[in-house]
Formats: sequence, structure tokens, C-alpha cells
Amino acid sequence: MKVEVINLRRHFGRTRAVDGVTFSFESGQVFGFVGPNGAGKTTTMRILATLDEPTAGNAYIDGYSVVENPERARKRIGYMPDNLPTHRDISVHEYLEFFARAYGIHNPHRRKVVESVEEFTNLIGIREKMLVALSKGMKQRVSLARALIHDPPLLIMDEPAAGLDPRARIELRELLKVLAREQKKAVLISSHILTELAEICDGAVIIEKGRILRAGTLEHIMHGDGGAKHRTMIIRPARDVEVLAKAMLEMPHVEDARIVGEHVEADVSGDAETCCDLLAELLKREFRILEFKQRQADLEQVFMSLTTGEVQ
Amino acid sequence: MTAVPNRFTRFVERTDDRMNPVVVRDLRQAVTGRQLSSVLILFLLVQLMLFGLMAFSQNVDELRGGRSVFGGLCMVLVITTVLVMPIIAASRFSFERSKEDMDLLLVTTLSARRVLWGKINAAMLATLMIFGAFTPFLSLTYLMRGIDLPTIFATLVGVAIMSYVCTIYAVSVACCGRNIITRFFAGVFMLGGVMIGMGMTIGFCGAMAIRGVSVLVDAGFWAATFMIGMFTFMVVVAAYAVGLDSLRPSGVRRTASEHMAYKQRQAYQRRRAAKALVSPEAETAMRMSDRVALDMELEPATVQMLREQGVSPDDQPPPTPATPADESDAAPNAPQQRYEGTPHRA
Repeated sequence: MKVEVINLRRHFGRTRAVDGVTFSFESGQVFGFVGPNGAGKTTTMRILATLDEPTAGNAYIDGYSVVENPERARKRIGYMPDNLPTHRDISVHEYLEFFARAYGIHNPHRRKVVESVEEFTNLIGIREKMLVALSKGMKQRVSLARALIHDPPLLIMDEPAAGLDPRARIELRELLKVLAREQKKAVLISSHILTELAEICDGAVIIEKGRILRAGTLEHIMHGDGGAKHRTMIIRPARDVEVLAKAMLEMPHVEDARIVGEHVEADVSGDAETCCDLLAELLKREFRILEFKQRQADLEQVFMSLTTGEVQ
Repeated sequence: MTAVPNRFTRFVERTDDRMNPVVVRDLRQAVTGRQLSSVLILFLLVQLMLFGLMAFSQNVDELRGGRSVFGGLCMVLVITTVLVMPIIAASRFSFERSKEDMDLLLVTTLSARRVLWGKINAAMLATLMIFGAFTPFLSLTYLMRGIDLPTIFATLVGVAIMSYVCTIYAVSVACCGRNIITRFFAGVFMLGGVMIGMGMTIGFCGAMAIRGVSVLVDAGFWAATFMIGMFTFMVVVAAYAVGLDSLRPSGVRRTASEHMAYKQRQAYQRRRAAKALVSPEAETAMRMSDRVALDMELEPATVQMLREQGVSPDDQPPPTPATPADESDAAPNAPQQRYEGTPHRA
């Protein structure tokens, strides 16, 4: 199952909410959608969920156009908006049962489906509770359960972690991992909590003022085109930090080396192969190395450097 | 022995599956909620009070007390079922539409028409409960004399029909409008229409209470009913059509003109891409074109032109990713970076 968004545009009068967005991802991947408020994330997601129509361009879910074939595309989508609408006088179980009916799932299969979804999202204990009485975290669980009720291959999640406490966030992250890795669902997720995205996403799109600023794997996003040209390596020797720092400064491709606590931080110009050669050279010189790793660029830093924070 | 309950269970389950999910949910909510029970209790209290007041103030010797009581009770029934219940149904639906709930409903496989009819029928079923509460008082008016059973039955059928019509109208109008101004006007239209409906129903009930079923054999009555009925039918159908169109998700809501404009834009992009393939600046232009262009179906003339130039129509150069720095200088239609996904993790 592949999701393709092709040159998507959505204009509201003179405002170009989405302006030529193109990206794709497939089953088993968690794909992040990052951008400041008003960047066009929700509009793109609503178009994908067949709730809005593009001014131009198209999007395909498993080959079905969301414009030309919305009914077929809809069957493949589980849409989770940023907050669950509060219903009065309806319990969690009744709510899920209603959506199972709405997706045309008949009894006795419906009973099994609702129960299995409640079990998966850990709602069994609160199934008879009224929706209005639920906490934000529980509501998000119900919302996820509702999106999963017809077992869609694509999940579209708009800010699912917003307003959740750390425990609920971790639980949601674990659920998403299971959905993508084990159940092979494609997950498109927008979030402001970039550290969360960095942990679960395989790829991401950074969008601002309706246009894509950077797209690709997280590696690509953090280091730009063609992989990293400059890397900061963190090396922790068993002893003689100063000797190691001095030795590193004399090595080719090492632009700078500095002592930070018990580590040496070295700026290396080159690719992964260069780093391997560097480690081999250090071992050859009989340095006792406890740790040798690359410092990961922070997605938040990349986001801040790419975006201007302007809105249309 | 076990076959009978199994068959019965299957029948019940099949019937349950065939029911409109919106009706099931709304009725459950209505029954467990306070709104319907409040209306029912209030209705019963008013009926009881009115019944008591009118019954004890009648001159029993006239033997026509039932008709007056029936007229009074009908007023209460009409106000409740033709005015209050449709307005409650419409306002609930309008409130529901203002939240994201309707979006969630429209991304299911339920059609907009089923959603709308579900809302209408759920409201009507709740209204039928009011009719149910009215029945004991009716039997009392018959016992008080002055009114016959066919008149009572015909009046009830007339009020039920008008209640259904007003519910369809009110719920349909409640679908219209996306911002506060259009919603305000939709509300005014809804209220006006329902008030007119209530006026017509009161007129009908009055005629029935005074003349009885004999009014049904009057040609003048049918002529007036036909004219009013036709006008009402047209108004309700128009409201229904507009409401349904407003309720539909965008993918299906596209009007003919919008659809045409969308198609023209798509065709323009294809033409632009086709030009890029055959012109000397093909490569540059193709880089400026988008992915839609690559998925195009070339026109036969273009394919012929390409063959004459020795180019296979399938040989399309890949789009070049633009860096963010380039994009600021690029044309409005410059391509965005395209992410092709990563291999699955183990």
C-alpha cells in the first residue's frame, strides 16, 4: 500500500494554504508531518482524508484518488483528528460500536472487532464510561480505537500527542510502533513534539506556508542533501583524554577536536566511511576506546533553522 | 429445540444490522439523555393540566365536552411535535455539525444521504414517543363524547405527516451554512418554515375539530390542500437538496462548475508537460514541471510528434529535487522534494 501526494495545492482566496506539496510513503512506515501553526498540515491531512478538495494536484491511497474515487479511498483511511468531539450520553463501547456499524461491519463480527480494538487500545476497563467523563489521554485512545475499527491500512493522525502527559505519550508511541512495524500500517502523523517524531518516524516532511522545506528520511532531513559532509564524533577513551585529543587533531579529515568532560568531540569532514577509517586508525594507535558515536543533530534545531515562523 | 432461538437471534441480528447506525445512536443518546425525557414530562404535565381544566369547566349536559378538550389537547400536541421537536432535532444537528463529529461520520462508508435520513428518522421516532404519550388522553376525549374515533385518527395522521415534513425541513436547513452568518440565516429560515407548518397544522386540526371527518369529502378542502401541499413539497425538496449538498464531503460536493475548473487545471498541467517534452528546452521545462505531468496520458498528436523527433514518449526525465534555497527563486510551480520512502524495518 502506497500513499502518494502529488503537487497538491489548496487555495483559500489569495491564501495558498498548500502550495505544491509532493511526497509519498508506504506500508510499515511512520511518516512525520512537521510545521509551525498555519503551515498547511491539517489542510493536507484533511484532503488526504477526503474531507476537503484540492485546488489542483491529487493524492492517491493504494492507487485510489481522493478526488476521483473518495469512496474507495475512504475505506483505506483511519482518520484521527486532534481532539475527540465530546459526546454526551454515550459510552465508550457504544461509541465504538456505532462506528463499527457506520463502516458496515455486521454482527457477530462487529462484536469481535470492537472487543479486539478495545483490548488493543487498553479500553476494556473503561468501556462503560461516558465519553464526556474521560481524560484527554483516554479520549485519544478512544479516538485511535475508532480510527482502527475497520482495520485501515493508512492512519492519518493530526497532533495525536498534543496535551498528553508523558506516560500517555509513551503509550501512544508504543501503540504506533506496533501498528507500523507489526501490523504494517502506513502512519502519517503531524506533531509539534519533534523529539517524539524523531523517535518513531522513518521519514518526515517539514512544511511552512504551504510549501515543503525539506523532505526525506530523518537522516536526510538532519544532514541535508547527499548525506552529512561534516559530522561531530563523540569519542570516550578509557584514559588519556588529552593525548587522544592531540592525536586526533593531527589526523586527516579532523577539523577540530576538543575535550568535553571525559569525551573528545571531533568535527570530521567526510562520510561514514571516513569515520570508520578514523576509528580503525585510533585502534591501530592502541587507544582504548570505550565509546565512539556520532552526535545526532536535533530535529528541533533543524526545524528552527529551516522555518521562519511566518504565517500567510 | 435450539433451532428456533438461533433463527430468531439471526433474524434480530440481521434486522439490527440493517438499521441506520445514526438512528440507533441518536435514539440511544436521546433515551439516556435529559432532553427528550424533559420534553416528555413537560408534555404530559401540560396535557394533564389542560385536560383537567377543560374537562371540569365543561357543561356535562351538552354532551360535547370531548370536542373542546380534544381541540385544546391538539394545540399542545401540534406545538410539541410540529414546532418544538423539529427545532430540537435541528439545533442538535447544527451543534453536532459545528464540531468535528460530522467529519468523522463522513469519512466512514456512510453516505451523506444516510446520515441525513438517520437524523430525520431518529428525530421522528422520538416524536412518535410523544404521540404515544398522547394516546391515553385521546381515549378520554372520545369517552367525553362530542368527537368520533375517525376524526381523532384522521387528525393524528395529519399531525404526524406535518410533523415529519417539518422535521425533514428543519434538519435539512440545519445542514446549511458553514459560518455564523449563514447559520443565522439558516436558523431564521428554519424557524419561519416550521412556524408556517405549525400554522397550517393548527388550521387543519381546527377544521377537523369543528367539522369532523366530513371535511375530508369537501372538494374545496382538497383543492386548498393540494395547492398548499405542492408549495410545501417544493420548499421541503429544495431545503433537502441544499442541505444534502452542504453535508456531503468535499470530494462529492464538487459542483459542475468547480469540477470543470479542476479538470481544466489538470488539463493545463498536462499540456504544459507535453510542451516541455517536445520543445528544445525540454529538460529545463521538465524540471519545472510537476509529478502530475509525469503521470499524464499524452495526446496522440504529441506522441506522433515525439516519435518524429526520435523520442519515446515513455522516456521521461526524472524531476530534479529543489533545495529550499532554490525554491525562493523558483517559479511558483517549481517542484518540491519527493520522498520515496525507506525500506521497512525488520
